[in-house]
Amino acid sequence: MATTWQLLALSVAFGGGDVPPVTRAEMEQLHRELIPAKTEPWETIGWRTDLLAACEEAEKAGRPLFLWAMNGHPLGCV
Amino acid sequence: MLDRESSFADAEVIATLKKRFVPLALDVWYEERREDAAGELYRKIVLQRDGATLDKTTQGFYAFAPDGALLQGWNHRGVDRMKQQLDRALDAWKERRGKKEKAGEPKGDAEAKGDEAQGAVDRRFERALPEGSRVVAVRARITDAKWPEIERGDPLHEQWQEIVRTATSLDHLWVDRDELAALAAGTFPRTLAWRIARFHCIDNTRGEPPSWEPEHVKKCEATLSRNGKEPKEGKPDSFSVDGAFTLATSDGALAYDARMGGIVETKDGTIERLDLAIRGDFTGHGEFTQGAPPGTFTLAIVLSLADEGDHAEVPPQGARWLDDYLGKVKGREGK
Repeated sequence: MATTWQLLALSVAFGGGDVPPVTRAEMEQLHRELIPAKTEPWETIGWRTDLLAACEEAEKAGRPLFLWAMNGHPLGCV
Repeated sequence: MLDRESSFADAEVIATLKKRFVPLALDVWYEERREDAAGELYRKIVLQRDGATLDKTTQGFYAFAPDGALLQGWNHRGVDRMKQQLDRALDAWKERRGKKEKAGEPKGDAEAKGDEAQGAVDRRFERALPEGSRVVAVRARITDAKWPEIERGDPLHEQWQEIVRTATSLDHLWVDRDELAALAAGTFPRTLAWRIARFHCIDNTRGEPPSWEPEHVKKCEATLSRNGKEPKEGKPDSFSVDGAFTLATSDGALAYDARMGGIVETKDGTIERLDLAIRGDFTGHGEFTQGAPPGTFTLAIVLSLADEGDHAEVPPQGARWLDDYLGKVKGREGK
């Protein structure tokens, strides 16, 4: 059986459920703060996401390709 | 994150990539594994770079010709380095084209290949949004933390430290047809709450964090309550969201204790607005997300229906393990 100390430690470790609710006003404020109001510079680049299609496009356009390869999609994840 | 805020925020780099290259962004996890034409070409490109190996990592930057010939490859960050390498790549491209012209060869590298010539696609690594589903953009940021003093001395290192303290991550959540129908009917589906808890209540502001295993989910609750009276048929309906998540590894080294609030607006059975915010106390970091603030810090996560510019075509990070992500693995679905 868990001792009082162990239960208390678990409660602290797992937060104990005392986090206050997210109000509508806070939710809306967080959306304003975290969602960019305008397109960010890196998003204006026009990233393609299909390697074969991009190669065909580059071939037709007579341009080289630039690949940004990351663990986790560069346009998402991180 | 670092690249978005540094190299790809530089006007000169942006202009060069837009005008002189065809820019492409890929997740190496898929490309290294897929056994098809795309995977073969990817490996051909990246393995030409010194130091790139499949058993370590192939992440980095590559300038290459349409046939896969590498012009420049590097895995170092910084605006100056980026500009230098792009210039070198363009010089190499020019030289290559000049040689072809001199030899009387067509300037192009290869005939465009049709789908048939590309062979079968490796479906194990295809990630298409399930029919009838919608994409929700998920952004996270550390909003309150006791950060240590910035380590001074190396300007680039100083810049990185500053960037990660205010960085906002971006991921995508898939909400399937049944879950959308449940939301429209005034119920927050358990499957959706479970997916949010396991795969989206994460601190991905510094890289790829681990998702939560089912046994890490101590609490996962989400409810909808109607705002006002039930509307007449065809009229908009509105619900408030209240939820709570408690997530922790067995040793408590990685933990998130959070609440969720939000609003769901529907009309004629269609979700017109789905805005959620999760905020709570986060502790710890993953193997690839080192550098978290010490102790407990506040992590805020906002979710809203994806629109143009949210790169909704990029699958959720958690969809690498697609069946688990969609709740189709028996014993891990959290019902």
